[in-house]
Amino acid sequence: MSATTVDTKAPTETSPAPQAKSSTPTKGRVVVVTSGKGGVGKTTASANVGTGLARLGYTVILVDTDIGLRNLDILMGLENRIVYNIIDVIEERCKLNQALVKDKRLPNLSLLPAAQTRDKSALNAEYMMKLVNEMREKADFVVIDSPAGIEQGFQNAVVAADEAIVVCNPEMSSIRDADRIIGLLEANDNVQTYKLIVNRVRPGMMKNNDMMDIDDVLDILNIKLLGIVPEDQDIIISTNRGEPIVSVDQSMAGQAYRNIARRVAGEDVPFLDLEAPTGFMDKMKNLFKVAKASVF
Amino acid sequence: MGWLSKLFNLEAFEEKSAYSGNGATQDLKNSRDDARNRLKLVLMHDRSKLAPQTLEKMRDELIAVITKYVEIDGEALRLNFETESNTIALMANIPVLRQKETDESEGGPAATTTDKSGKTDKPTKADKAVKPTKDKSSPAALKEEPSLV
Ligand SMILES: Nc1ncnc2c1ncn2[C@@H]1O[C@H](COP(=O)(O)OP(=O)(O)O)[C@@H](O)[C@H]1O
Ligand SMILES: [Mg+2]
Repeated sequence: MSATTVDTKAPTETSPAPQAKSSTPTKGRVVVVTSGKGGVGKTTASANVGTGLARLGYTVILVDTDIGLRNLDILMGLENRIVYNIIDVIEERCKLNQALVKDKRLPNLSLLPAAQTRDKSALNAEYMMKLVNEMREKADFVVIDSPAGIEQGFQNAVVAADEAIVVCNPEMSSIRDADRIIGLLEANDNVQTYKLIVNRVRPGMMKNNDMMDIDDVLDILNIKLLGIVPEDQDIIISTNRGEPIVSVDQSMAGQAYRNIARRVAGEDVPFLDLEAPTGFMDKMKNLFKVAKASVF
Repeated sequence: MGWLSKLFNLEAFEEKSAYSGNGATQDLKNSRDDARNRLKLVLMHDRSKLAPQTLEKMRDELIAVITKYVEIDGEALRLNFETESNTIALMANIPVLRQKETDESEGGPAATTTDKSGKTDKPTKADKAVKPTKDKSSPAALKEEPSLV
């Protein structure tokens, strides 16, 4: 991911949506978010990376490929606006444009929902390839949320991807499954790069050696880091509200995802102290001391 | 300090666990190393592209080499991977039946019976090291799961 071309393309977060680039229909980048194991934060990451990129001004289509277990719509707060879904498009009951659900706040962000009542066999790799290629004509980024597992659902999600974001928690079973996924991504011809988000990080536990730290994880998986997202209860609140945490200014996980989105866009964003667990911990301790001193 | 930690959103980082309090037993501390070592081993297995036939061949060749010097119980020979202080070792457990009559001393009991002598302080350069067997003709001493053989 080169950082050189970005500055012209990506405005600051306060001035979104340059819509002028329509004259040159560039092919968008297709990014799949995957993990192997369920419940590690794929859907949360998809929602936040997609929204984060849209906040930077890019045109983004989010795709939910978790057929039968639709969730991305909930995280985006769009569950009441769905008319058609991905299977309807594939089975030609509607056009792609009719199925895309526009985001509430960001006009350059939309969601292609999964089907909730159909079974997974309705989707296959060939249809998926065709559909994604149609979407990449319309968007700068197509962000695909994948189902858990390494079966057909995973294959569908990655078949047309140029890049992958692997999400894991700093726990054994999650890392083992991530390793399987990385093996599959390596064997995949179209996926050019993949990077890791370590989610639900607890700096305190890491500091006490009660949990593997980021270096352990990167070393074991032999993969490059895209970002570190702390365990953050605000994620539950933001899900309740149907607003991805990346849009919540004062949240730690939100900051982490804003950084991640910029890195995906190609910017070279340093890992914040907040993201370097020990440094962060020390900093918080200092803050804590200062606060204490001033109050008592 | 409840409100203070709330103010700084520290609660997530002050989680108490049964293992981190005063009552923590020694071997439950530093579980990070356990996780790391166990993971390395399991991933070694997962990633292993060694076909069963290849392992079988390696085993046969090992037997051929070793029987030049000592008489071993080839049937009871076990090969498996273990982690040891950050390295992954290919451990061979080779029950020795009898030492062959040679003028060499290198195949002597010291090399085959004491596990400690095989465990040098420094990890071997290669990730895979064939360690001497632990005990004479005592398959009961095998501690591994027979997953690879
Ligand atoms: N950084 C985090 N801190 C706290 N909770 C999180 C975090 N990331 C994800 N979660 C929670 O974990 C659960 C699973 O997340 P989800 O994104 O649905 O995982 P997946 O799509 O991989 O199954 C959700 O309840 C979500 O709110
Ligand atoms: Mg999900």
